[in-house]
Amino acid sequence: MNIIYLLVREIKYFTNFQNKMYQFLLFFQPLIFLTIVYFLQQLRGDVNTDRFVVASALISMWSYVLYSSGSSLVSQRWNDTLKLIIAAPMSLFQVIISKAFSNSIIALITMVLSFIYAKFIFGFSIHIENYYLFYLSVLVLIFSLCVVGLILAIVFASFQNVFDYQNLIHTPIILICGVFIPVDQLPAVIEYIAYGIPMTWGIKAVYEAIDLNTMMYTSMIVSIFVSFIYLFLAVFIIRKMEMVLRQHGKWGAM
Amino acid sequence: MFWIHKYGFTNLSYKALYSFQSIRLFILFRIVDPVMHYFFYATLVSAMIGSDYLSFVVIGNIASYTCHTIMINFMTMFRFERRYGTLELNIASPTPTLWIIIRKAVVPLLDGMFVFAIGLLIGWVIFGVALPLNQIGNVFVLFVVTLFSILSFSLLFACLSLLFSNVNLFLNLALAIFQVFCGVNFSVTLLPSGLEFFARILPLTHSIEALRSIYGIESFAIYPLLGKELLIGFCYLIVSLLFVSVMEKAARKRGALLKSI
Repeated sequence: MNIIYLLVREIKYFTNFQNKMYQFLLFFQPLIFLTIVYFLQQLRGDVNTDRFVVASALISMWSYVLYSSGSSLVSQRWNDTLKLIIAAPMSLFQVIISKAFSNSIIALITMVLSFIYAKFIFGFSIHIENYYLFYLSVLVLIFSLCVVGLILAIVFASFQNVFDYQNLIHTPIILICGVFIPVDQLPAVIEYIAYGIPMTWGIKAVYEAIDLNTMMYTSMIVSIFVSFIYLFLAVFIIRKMEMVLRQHGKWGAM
Repeated sequence: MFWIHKYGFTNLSYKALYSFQSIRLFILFRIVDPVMHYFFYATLVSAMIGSDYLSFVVIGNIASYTCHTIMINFMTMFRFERRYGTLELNIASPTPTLWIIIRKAVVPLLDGMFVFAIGLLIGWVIFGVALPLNQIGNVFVLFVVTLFSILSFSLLFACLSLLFSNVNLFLNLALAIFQVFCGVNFSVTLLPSGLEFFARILPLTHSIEALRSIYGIESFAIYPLLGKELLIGFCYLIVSLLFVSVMEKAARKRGALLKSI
């Protein structure tokens, strides 16, 4: 029950118009990217814009997860609420997973917004053959984003100054996870790295679900499997982190 | 660097207000980050309309990234001054405010120069967009004119940013507007006429067209474009100086600067 309460509070806080920090990511970034896509497609008439409308949504979703979930734990230290969280009668993992999950749900809102902008402002038609399969693939993607957010929160909290480099993480992940170009067209080394990121499989599943590609089920299953591996790893690390924080009051950047 | 005075105004401003104080951070944010930025748009364009258009986009983004760097530096400087409460002291000091701003502009200017030069190098080495050697003189003139117009605009932009309690949204929107309306990724002639007019009163738009013409990607006359860019720069400079002067008078009269925000 506490998790649901936290979830609702988190969603309310981040989608509040008073919270200017995330307004750009949520509402404006998809608009800007779609504007660029709109004018670029005028240069060549036969562009299949479906992929780029989805790409716009994916970029906004990733940006939001990176900047919100990434700082979810470190920000507790900045706000001096970390002590309260450690002392609270719920585990640190429950707190972080609720934040990562709520951020992924909000990321879903940016996807919906991207589609609304694409359809009603730019007049792009999005051809989705089977909406149920598409929704299913989006759920898989959301799960992978949630796990990636969890990992980011741990990494940012565990190493000094990693937070300063979050802008540098942003673009390479978009490039290697197959947002614009399918991962199998990337150089072999990058391909291997990309397949180790749960989001890559989630993105692959979404694109395959749009085209009803037969590989979509495999991509979804692999995405869930890879996400679970990271999830278990995260559970283990966060428990360790909580123990160390209770005993010594220090962990990495916190 | 014998000419840098250790306790000089510019050096102290750099130490106090500039974000990248180590070589590692400088390399990451002034070489790696631009490379990623160019790759992002190059990949988008290649995936969408093919690689024929790559040089057009890379050149546009080199100019755009330089502009972003200068604007962010300028705004960060003003923001930090406000956060540490030294903005009012700068204005109240017997040194003319404009002279203080000019001396503080040295660091963003040098940073912008570096980003532009390294951008052209990245464009050449990674994307194969080679600078025609007989055009180096023109590139230098363009460089000076563009930096002047961007600095003038950045000054106005930084002053305006003081009106906002949270400047991140303002900054991100401004950078996004530049990315869309200055012809960075597509020609401004594709925009509807009203928006094209808006694009043409922004700094950078004419410079990007001139830079592409220098590279032979577009075929406009270079000097008329640079003349327009210079004129736009002067207009922004006059407006920003008026703004600074109003700010200065208000600050002296009230003994505070935008404290109510």
